[in-house]
Amino acid sequence: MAENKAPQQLRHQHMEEALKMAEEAYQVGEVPVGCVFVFEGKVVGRGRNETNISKNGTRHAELVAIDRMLEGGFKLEDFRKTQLYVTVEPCIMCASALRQMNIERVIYGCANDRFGGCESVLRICDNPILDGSRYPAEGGCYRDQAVLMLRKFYMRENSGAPKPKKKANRVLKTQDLKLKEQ
Amino acid sequence: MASEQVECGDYLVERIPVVEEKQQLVTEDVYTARIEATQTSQILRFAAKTLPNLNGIEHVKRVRRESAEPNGKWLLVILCQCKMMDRDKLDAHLKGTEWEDSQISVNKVPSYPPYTRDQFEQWKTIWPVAYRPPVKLKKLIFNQEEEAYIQACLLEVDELCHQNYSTGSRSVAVVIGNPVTRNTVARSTDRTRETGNPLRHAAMCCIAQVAQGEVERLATREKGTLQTRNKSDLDDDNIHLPLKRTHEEYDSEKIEPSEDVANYLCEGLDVFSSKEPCVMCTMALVHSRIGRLFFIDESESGGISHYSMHCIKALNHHFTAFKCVRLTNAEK
Repeated sequence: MAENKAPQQLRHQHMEEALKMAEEAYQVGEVPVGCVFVFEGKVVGRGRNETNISKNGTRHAELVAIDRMLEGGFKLEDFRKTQLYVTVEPCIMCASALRQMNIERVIYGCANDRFGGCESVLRICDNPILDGSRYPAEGGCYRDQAVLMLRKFYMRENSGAPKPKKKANRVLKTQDLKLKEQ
Repeated sequence: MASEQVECGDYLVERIPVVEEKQQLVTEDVYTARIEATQTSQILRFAAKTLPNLNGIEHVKRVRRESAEPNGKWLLVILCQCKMMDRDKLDAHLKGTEWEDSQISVNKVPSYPPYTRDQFEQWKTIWPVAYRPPVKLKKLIFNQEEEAYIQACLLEVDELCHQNYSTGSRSVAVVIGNPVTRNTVARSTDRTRETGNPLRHAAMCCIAQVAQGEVERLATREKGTLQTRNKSDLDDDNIHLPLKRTHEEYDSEKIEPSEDVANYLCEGLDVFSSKEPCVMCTMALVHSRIGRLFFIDESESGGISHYSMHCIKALNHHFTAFKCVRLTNAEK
């Protein structure tokens, strides 16, 4: 049991790092999604959403982190032994990008009902026909913390999105979330 | 179904049908009772009170004539969907009522509302259905200026490809155009090799260019040199105008783009690509809210061919996709 516990703790530690990135996005008014890339047990890349500041709807946490890693000299072939920890299920675009990077594994927090590319809308991660290599994707790690962050964000108005609707009547729901422990 | 094709100079442009247009007839079973016309409201009241409501087949007419004769007195009325209860249960509901002996039978009705007129004509022969032609399903017509603009953009794409013939393989090129000003606003070839970044596909680079232009424009505006994106900006080749509405709406209603028309990403812009975008790039186009996609070479693993991603209902944005074939001199 003790042997199994260490990786589990490490997993939580990595997802906590990803949540910190999401929190950073929240603080600056970006959709709060954050991620870290882990190679040989160490965090080798971080990213968070940058779509509003860049006016570019494709600057999701995963793609931001990948660009920085490559610019910083991280080797392309090492992505094969790299895992992604991301607070929200990668969207269809990112799910395809991760295949093209040959990522080893994806661990995510909550599902992405609107754009999800690992289970929610399409299943890109292990479709045999598409470009790139298939990878296992597993959700649920710190799910409720990730959901809470998104709910907090959608309580406010997304200044970058078109014609925001008035949200005065919205109430932040937390009763269904278990936030203390995983 | 007949495909829609328009010649734009050297290219044959064909709209790719949305999923609904390709839908074949699918039916489901319903229980019907045979009644006289005068009993209609009575039996419907009975069904509303006693039987489960019809669900998901709102396009199906509740009542039809039993035969084609114009003055036939017998009608068939739908009681409920067979999937809601088995025959014994239905009989139990009818037992002791005046409908007990009204020749209950099982009939087939179309499961989905017809999207095209052809589907409507065919499906209504199974059971009468209502048909609302979708607003989006208009005949494919480009005016002369638009044809010229589409051809020019496709030629630019082809030219970019040829300039970048590297190591024998044809490079992928993408151009983004503004359908209102008919200018190209971004252009790129595939940059994966030169950057060493496998994600630097041509479409991703073009989206980044549009975004960069927008960031710069906003920065200039903040300095006060450029107040708003108004009509005169449209004459400036360097400034594109993402559209709040589709190009058709602008064309038909002659709406002038105004300040309160928030510009958002690549909204309403046209994307021209030498190759069908991969899943990543197609979803990037959805995220960027483009208006139309024109591509030349199809790709089996592409976002349109493999997933029809331009028209997935679950997604929050849809666009029109066209496949373009360069006509050889012989075909012209």
